[in-house]
Amino acid sequence: MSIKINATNFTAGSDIPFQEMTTLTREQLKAYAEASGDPNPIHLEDEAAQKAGLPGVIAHGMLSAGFLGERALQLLQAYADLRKIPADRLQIQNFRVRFKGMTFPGDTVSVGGRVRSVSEDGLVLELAARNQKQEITTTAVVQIVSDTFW
Amino acid sequence: MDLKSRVGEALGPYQEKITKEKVQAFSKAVCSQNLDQIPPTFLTRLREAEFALIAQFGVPLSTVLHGEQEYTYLRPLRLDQELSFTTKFSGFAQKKSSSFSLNFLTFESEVKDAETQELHAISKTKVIVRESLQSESEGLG
Repeated sequence: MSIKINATNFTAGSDIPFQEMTTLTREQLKAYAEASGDPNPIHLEDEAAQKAGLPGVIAHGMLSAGFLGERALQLLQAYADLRKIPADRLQIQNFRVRFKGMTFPGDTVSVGGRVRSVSEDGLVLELAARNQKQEITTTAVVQIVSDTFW
Repeated sequence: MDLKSRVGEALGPYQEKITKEKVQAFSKAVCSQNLDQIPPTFLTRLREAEFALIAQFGVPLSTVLHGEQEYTYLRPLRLDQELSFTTKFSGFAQKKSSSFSLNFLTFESEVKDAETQELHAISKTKVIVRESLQSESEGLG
């Protein structure tokens, strides 16, 4: 399994490079609606979205949160590799997301950010999802702890 | 809308089993490199009680936007675990302008192991419902 975390050195303030996650399709929105059990029609039917005042279907906010979560897991793995400990010794203890903008089919979503803090107990990451216009749509603060504090 | 009097209402317990099939479908949908790991946002599958409360309040789901989401894990989740969860409508706030109101609804869920009843996670969800104060109803989405 290749994990592309190039250049993250896990010191406080260091940058986490933006990594492209996907270019969203309507099929992906349908798959996510099924996998997440979210029945909101504004993600599936243009008509429902337009009735709600939108130009057309929008992606689930939680789908962007899912990309942030996936990037957080990749970083957790990279940090475990760096510390030479098994990844299951580290756990995400807190995952807090704020939704700031909408994502549409055709948008390319990338996730990156910075390392907020590192300590013996674990680390805190600040992540953001952005589109191809460099607009931030979703942010997350992720607290990762080692199992001695679990 | 004024949902202040409804704060404190709760629904549950509901149950949800973490199966390999569900985890793989979810992981695939969020472009995961490891389809067997439970994603940190997997608990979004546990919004059934929240959606039922929103329906009870008479709010169409198509007018509801997600504002914030927080998961706090006290114990790890595991495959084949049966979860039990209860969701409480925990807060209501409103901001009004001349033409519309923004309504902030907060829900909190306790996620337990259905068998041991140990608390595994707490989920806090804030959603936003935009309501037009003019005759024609129009939402942000």
